[in-house]
Amino acid sequence: MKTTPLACSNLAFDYGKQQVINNINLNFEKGEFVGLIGPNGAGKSTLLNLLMGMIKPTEGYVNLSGQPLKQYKQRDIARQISLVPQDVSIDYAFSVREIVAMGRNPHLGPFQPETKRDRELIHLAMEKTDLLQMDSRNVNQLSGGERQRVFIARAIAQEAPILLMDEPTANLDLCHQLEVLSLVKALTEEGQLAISAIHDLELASRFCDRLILIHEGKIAAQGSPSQVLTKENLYRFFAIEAEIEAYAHGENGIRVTALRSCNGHSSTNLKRND
Amino acid sequence: MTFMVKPTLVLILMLLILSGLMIAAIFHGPSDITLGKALIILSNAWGWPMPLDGVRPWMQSVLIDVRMPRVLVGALAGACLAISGAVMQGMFRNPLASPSVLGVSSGASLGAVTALYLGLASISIWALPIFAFTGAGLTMFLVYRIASQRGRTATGTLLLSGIAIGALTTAASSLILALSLNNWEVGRMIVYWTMGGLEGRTWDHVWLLLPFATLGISILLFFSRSLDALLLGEVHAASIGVDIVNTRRSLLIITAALVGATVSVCGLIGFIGLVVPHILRLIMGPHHRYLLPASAIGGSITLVGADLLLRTMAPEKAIPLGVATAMLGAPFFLFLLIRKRWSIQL
Repeated sequence: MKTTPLACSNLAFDYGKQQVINNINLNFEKGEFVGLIGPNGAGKSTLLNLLMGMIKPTEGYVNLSGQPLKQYKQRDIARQISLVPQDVSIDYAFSVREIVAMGRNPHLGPFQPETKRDRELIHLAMEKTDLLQMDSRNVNQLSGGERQRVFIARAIAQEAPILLMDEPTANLDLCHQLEVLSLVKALTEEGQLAISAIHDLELASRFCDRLILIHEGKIAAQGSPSQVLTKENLYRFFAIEAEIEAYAHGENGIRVTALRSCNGHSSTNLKRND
Repeated sequence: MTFMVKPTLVLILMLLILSGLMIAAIFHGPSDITLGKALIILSNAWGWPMPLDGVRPWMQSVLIDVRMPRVLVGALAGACLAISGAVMQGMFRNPLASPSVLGVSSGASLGAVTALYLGLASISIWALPIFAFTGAGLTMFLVYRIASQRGRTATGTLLLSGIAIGALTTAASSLILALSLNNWEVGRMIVYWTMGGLEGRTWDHVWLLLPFATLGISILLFFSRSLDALLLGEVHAASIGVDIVNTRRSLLIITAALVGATVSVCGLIGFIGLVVPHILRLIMGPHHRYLLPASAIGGSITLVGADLLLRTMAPEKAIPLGVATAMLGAPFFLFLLIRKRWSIQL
C-alpha cells in the first residue's frame, strides 16, 4: 500500500452519547487542495481536530506518513501539520510578528533563539499574506479578518507540508478571501497538501481540486466540485433549492444560486425573471 | 505598541534593587548593630578574620542566625509565590488567577495545622514542613483528578474544583483550630502560624526551601515558550506542537511543589502570586521569557521589602506578614477586578 501523507480509517468520535464523527475513511495526496463542505454542526471542525491529533478518536485511527498519529509527539506532528483555527480572538498584547514567529516553535528548543533562516521564513510568510507593514502592531487591535491572516501567516512560517484550515475566509473581505485562497492554491501547486473547511460553496468549487461533503458526521459525497455540487446534494444536505451553472472561460467554479430554502419558509423566494 | 522599556534592562534593574534591599534588610533591625560592626561580623563568617573589638557574640547571632535566614527565606518564598502566580495566570489565560486558586495553599495549611495540633511540631522541626507538603500534594492530586476525564482537563472545572477543595480544607483547618482552643498555647500557635510570616525562620528553613525554589524555578523557565503559546488557546498551542496534557500536568505539579514548600515554611502569605505578575505584565508585556524571571525577582523584592517595612515601622506590634500582604493586596485585587469587570472570561 502506497504511503499517503495523511489518511484516516474508520474514524469515529463522540462526546459521550453524541456521535459527532462516524466511520470516516479518507486518503489525501500531496499537492491536493481539498475542501470540506457541509452544513453547520456537520463535524468539519471535529474532523480537522482529529486529523491533527488535537483530540483522540473513539474508534479508528489517523495515519501520518504511514504511521499512526498516536505514535507521534505533538511537536513532531506540528512539523508536519499546521492548523489555522477558526476562533482567533486574543486578549494579550502580542505583536503580529511575534504571533507569526510562534510558527517556528516546533523547530526550536526551549531556550534556542531564532536563526537567520527562521527570520527569513517569518518575513516570507508575512510578505505572502500582506502583513509586512503591520508587523509590530498589536494583534488585539486588528480587525477579525486581519487577525485571520496573521494565523495563516503563522501556519505558513511553520513550514509544515500539510496545511489544515478551519474556515479561513470566514471574516475576510472579498479581496482577502481571494488572496488567501489563491495563496493556498499556489502552495499546493508547490506540493503542499491543504485541507480546508469552507462555507462558501462557490469559492470552494473554484479553488479546490476535491470536495468532501460532510453531513451528520459521515461522508455524504466526495469528488470534483461538479460531482459534489449537484442540485440533489444541495437539496438533501444544504436544504436549498438551487440553480447550478458551470463558470465559463475555463475556470473550474460552479455558480450556485440559492433560490429558496426548503425548510418551509417560502417568504424568502428569489424569483427569476423569466 | 512596543513596551517602552527593554525587558532585559528591567530585569537587571530589578536584580540590583533586590540585592540592595536584601543588604539593607540584613543590616537593619531593632537591635542596634552599626554598619561597621556588621561588616566585621560578615567578614569573619566568610573566613576573613578581622579584629573583633566592640562586636558582641549576640550581635553575631542576630545577624547570622536571625536576620540572614529571615531575609533569605523571604526572598525565596516571594520568588516561589510570584512565579507560581505568573504560571497560573498563563495556564488559565486569566490575569486574576493565583497560586491559592487551586486550593493548594489551604491544603498545605491544613497539613501544617494538623501537625501543630498533634504537637508534632515541637518534637521535630521537620514535622511541620512534611505535613504541609503532604497536604499540598494530596490537595493538588485531588483537584486534578476531579477535573480530569479521559486525559483531558478543562480549565473551568479545574478552577472550580480548586475552589471547592480549598473550601473543604479551610473548613477542616477551622475545625482543628476550634478544637485546639481548649489549649490556649496550641491555639495561639496555630492562629499565628496561619497568618503567615518570617518570624523565627532559621537556616534549616532556608535549606528546606532552597532546593525546591532553585529546581522549581529553573524548570518553569523551560516552559516559557509553551506558556506563550498556551495564552492563545489550546488549539493554537497544540497546532504549534505544545503537548497540552503533559505541559499542564508538569506545570501543576511544579507550582504545587513550590507553593507547598513556601506555605510549609512561611504559612499563608497571600496576594504576592496575584499582584506581582500582574503588575509586571503591564510593564513588560506577556512574554514569559521575561515575565517568569521578572515575577520571581519581583516577588522577592515585595516580600523582603514588606517584611523590612513591618520590622521598621511596627516592630513592637508584631503584625504578621500575611496580614500585611492581605491588607495591601486585597484592595488592589478589588481595583483590578473593577477595572476588568466586563472583560473577564474563564
